[in-house]
Amino acid sequence: MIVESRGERFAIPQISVVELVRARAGSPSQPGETQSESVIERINDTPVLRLRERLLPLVNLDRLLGLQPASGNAAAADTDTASTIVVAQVGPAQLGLIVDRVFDTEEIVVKPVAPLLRHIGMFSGNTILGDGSVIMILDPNGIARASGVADSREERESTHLPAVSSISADTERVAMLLFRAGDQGLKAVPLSLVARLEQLPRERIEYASGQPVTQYRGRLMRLLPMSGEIDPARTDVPVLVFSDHATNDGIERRMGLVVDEIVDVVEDRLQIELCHARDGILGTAVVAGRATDVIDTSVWLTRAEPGWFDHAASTLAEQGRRVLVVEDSAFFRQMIVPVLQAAGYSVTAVPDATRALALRDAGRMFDAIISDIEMPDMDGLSFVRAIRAGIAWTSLPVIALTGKLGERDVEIGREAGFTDYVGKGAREALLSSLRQCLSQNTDQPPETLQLVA
Amino acid sequence: MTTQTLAPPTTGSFADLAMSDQEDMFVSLTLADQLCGIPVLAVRDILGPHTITRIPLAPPEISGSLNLRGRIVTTIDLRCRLTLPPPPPGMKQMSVVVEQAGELYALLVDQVSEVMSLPRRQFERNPPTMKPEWARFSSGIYRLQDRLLAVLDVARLLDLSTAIK
Repeated sequence: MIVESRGERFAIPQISVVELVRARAGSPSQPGETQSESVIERINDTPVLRLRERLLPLVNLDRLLGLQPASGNAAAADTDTASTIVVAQVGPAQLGLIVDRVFDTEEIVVKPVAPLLRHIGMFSGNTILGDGSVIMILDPNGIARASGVADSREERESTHLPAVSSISADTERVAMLLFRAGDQGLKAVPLSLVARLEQLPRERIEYASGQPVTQYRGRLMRLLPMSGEIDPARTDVPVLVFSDHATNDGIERRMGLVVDEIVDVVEDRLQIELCHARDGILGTAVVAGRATDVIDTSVWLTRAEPGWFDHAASTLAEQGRRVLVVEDSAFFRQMIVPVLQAAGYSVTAVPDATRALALRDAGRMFDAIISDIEMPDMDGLSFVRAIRAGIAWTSLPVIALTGKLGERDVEIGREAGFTDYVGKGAREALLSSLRQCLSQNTDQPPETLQLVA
Repeated sequence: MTTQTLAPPTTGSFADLAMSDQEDMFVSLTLADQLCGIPVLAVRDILGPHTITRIPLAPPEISGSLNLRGRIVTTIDLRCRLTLPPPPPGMKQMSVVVEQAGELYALLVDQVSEVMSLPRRQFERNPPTMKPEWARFSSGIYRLQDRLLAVLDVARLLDLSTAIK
């Protein structure tokens, strides 16, 4: 949903919008006044709204974001004009956002905010609207945190806090989409893997060869109901759209995972605590304080589109091979790990070289290592030098993952000890390089094999 | 609104400045009448005036985001970054798009002029008396025939933790 405050537009995720209320400022039940409109009241300086026998805490979006009034008249929007209140659900609590106008809803492609802006904490992403303009997507959770709904801090004081408190935010935090499908339990998928969220009306669901499909952006897209079937009683269903542009055949693969309900988008550490190889579930993690099943996207993708990872078709050589991924960016880890897993590798991922070396010192063994080059603290070059200088992992193939593919960079990398160089995001190149490295390694005389054991 | 693509993405670094006879290519631009240059290999695009969406609560150097053919690009106000006064009202600023760690950034400047090939022997280090707010972001000076060109260090410009003060 697109809202406007002080002449600037923002998007609010539709899933967190409960309802819209028209209200104006003033005191209630003045003589001769019709009661058709709700009235914003104040306690000291805190705006609240009576909504169905409850007090709803309100937040002025313009104050929260420090927006300057579009006109010179600062007080106008506060006291006289009727405003619209967007009632948003934040976890168990509700919060009213005072905005100037509400526009229509638009389909949104969530893109992560630039690294320079992540500390702000008020935005869950940004997107480009149909008219080509860029718009920031408000994060109701961030707003709740900043305005004290989440932890009853005082609003005024805390508007400055998020910048400070989240600046040190762990890079490990991952934005996750929470939803329900099939049973009552919460399920989660890393948001970065989801291309779009759609609310698909019943009449747009068609059947081809007994399988539900929909016409989506000019092409047919297969729908996969996570619970097994699409509830015929529903007028519309939420759909998680996955899309993937294969590097080798240029075909865009798409799939719509039909779920029962989209619950929230939260940012939390993705730490899978209970691992069970249940079908299509990676394991259970505590996300935003609640036990949540993290789905194994690759399983669902292949189920809908058996050829999804065809370009990554696994051969026996890959089965069960252990790969260590060292990558500081959570985003790239999320990109790489499912791809490798889908290709049949058993993957361990760590965010930095120190932790990778700790695994080595703890006696863990792998068949190959994939490492980022640009990392804080110990970079990939020092890391590979440390490996080559050690004993346990000395002869392992180490593939560099990097944005720098210049001749000199590759040269330096090879000198440091990297076996191969692959560009970031070049999924196919990574898989073929890995295949190559591993087959070379098995060709080698038993000394390597002894080390593996 | 004009958009022209300059160089294909390559890795731009000019670490070997000391090597004599070679020439380096720069995109020249002006900021409050000062001629500056950005290594052409770092430049992905040049943009005319664009609609920029302001980002509330962002640091003052960040003037907002713009849409570059479907990619969201964070825009850095170089005047603000270099502690120059804001541009005169009505000035249509242009931007130079650079890439860092897979992310695009648009550097807002007064005017982009041309691509220059400059011989390294005309290159000099920053004069020691240069104001720190400039010395921090300039990797050196080229002596042109009639003007001086300050080479801007893109990585430092984008590292907002390199504080102004």
